[in-house]
Amino acid sequence: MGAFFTAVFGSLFGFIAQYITKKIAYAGAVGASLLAITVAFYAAITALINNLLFVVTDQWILNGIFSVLPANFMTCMTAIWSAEILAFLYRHQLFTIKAVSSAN
Amino acid sequence: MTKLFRYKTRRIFARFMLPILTVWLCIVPSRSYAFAPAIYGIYAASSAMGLGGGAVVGADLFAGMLAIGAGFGLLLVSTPAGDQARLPLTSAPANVPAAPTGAPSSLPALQPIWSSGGSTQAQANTCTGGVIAPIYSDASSSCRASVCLMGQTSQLGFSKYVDSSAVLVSGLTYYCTGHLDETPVGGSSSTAVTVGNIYGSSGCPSGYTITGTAPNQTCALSSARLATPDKACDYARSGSALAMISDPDCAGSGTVIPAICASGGVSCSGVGTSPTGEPRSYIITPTANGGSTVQTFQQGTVSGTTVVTTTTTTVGPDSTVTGVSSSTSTGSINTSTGTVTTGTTITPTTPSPAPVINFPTDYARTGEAATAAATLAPKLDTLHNDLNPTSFNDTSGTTVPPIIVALDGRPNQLTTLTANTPTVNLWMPSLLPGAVVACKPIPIGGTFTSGVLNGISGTASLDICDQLDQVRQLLGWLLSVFTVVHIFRLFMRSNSGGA
Repeated sequence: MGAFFTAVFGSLFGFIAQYITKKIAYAGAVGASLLAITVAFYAAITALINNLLFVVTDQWILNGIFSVLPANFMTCMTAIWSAEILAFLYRHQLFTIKAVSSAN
Repeated sequence: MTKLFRYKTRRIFARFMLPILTVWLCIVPSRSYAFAPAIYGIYAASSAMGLGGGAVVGADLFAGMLAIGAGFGLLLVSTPAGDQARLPLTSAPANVPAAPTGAPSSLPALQPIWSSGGSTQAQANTCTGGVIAPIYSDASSSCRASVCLMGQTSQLGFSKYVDSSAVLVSGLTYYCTGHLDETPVGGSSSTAVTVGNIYGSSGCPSGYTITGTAPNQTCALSSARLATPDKACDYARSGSALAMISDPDCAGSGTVIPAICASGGVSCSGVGTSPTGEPRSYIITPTANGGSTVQTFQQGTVSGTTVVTTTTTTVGPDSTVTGVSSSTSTGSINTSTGTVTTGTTITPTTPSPAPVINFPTDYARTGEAATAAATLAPKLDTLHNDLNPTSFNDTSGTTVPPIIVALDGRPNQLTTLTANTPTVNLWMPSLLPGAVVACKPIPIGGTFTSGVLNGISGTASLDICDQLDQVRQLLGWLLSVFTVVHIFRLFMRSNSGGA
């Protein structure tokens, strides 16, 4: 998952931080921070669900969890989170570029 | 105004009636509307099956042949309406169809009795309450008078007159005399003509016998089949004869097709149609050894020709199948008489075996095959050596073991891992869907602590995983759609405002 996020965001904005101003490099740091926060959030959600499943022993509840958590649950959640961060970074970088262009 | 009304009507229909109609058509199968009382199926039940209620259990004899050795002691002829004919195939007590449960006793009630006094007949009806004891203790009760009132109506230009001399004559039997008055309005002073004596007598309903002495009489259950209708027409097996038990269900609704037994019970037969409307019939013939032979006839169509498939099942005296056979012939079944007419036997066509191609052992020695083999052989050797080298060096110059050795090491490594352990390395595989949240049947157990089942315990398993899996698949589909829509809306959002 970490490699996935790194591949998505690192390749897209890495060159911006390298070739443009320090202010835009700061925006790249924002992307890295978001990446770290998202991975930590994913791990926390996963740990919570795992701990819940280990505590619950009643088969009725386990069957209920089985029903409401489809197999593509984490795949869809990952896609939504990735899209959210990608859109945020895109708009953030766009705003930063506009601001730098106006200042120069 | 009219347009507005039509618009609202269409809107109401589209929003409410259309979904309701759609759901209704999805839930209720179309054949529920069908009414075909002549449809029936024949089911084989072992000795312990099919003796209670109207449930259809066992294998359908029209759907396939039974296996030799299978339990088959009772034949159930069942209709979609739930009516059954139950025919034992042996004399074993276990195969005797159980009678329905009836109340062990009841109080005597006034029963209708026809009288024949005077110039006509009248009928006494059951009086209100139906209990004879209060009437016996009260000679002038209105209940007695009501019997007379209901017994005769105005006729022949005379009006009704109730004789006030109606009295209880003896025991639980009483009468009153009905007169027809000459004047339209009636009156006790007019000249009256006695037209009949109307009797009411206490008695018991069908299936019960009155016991005791008045006024402490009760009705005791004498025949549960007569007392309680259960939609099951039962038959009795005695030696090598079948006979219908005295059961009003046999002549009840008429929706069941009871077996018509020949004189002496040497055979019983029935005829009807399948759910698709094709004629079918059956014949049960008790055998001298205590068993039976069951023949089923199903009419069908093969390549445009009307045929009859005959299946013969032989049941031994131990209620097990000792022989089965089936054949198909041209013919038909008369749905009125049950007569089966058969002609030429149709031999089932079996597909011819695929032709065997025998290649010569030296076919690759010359020609194109030899050229191809000569080209492929060294390449296969190269591939084999690549996969199974003794050792080789990777790009960094490090010597690594052969790939087969490395693969052999993987199972050993995997077996040392503990499944579903929330460690740093395994938290992702143990998420979803894992063995922990896999749907399993839910065990249900318990012990009855009261009633007739007191002390009986048992366990069962409730398996609804198939249904839950469908819900899970539906949620997964909805989640996928939601994800796509969400991402689409996210990227279509306006960029104004930047971050």
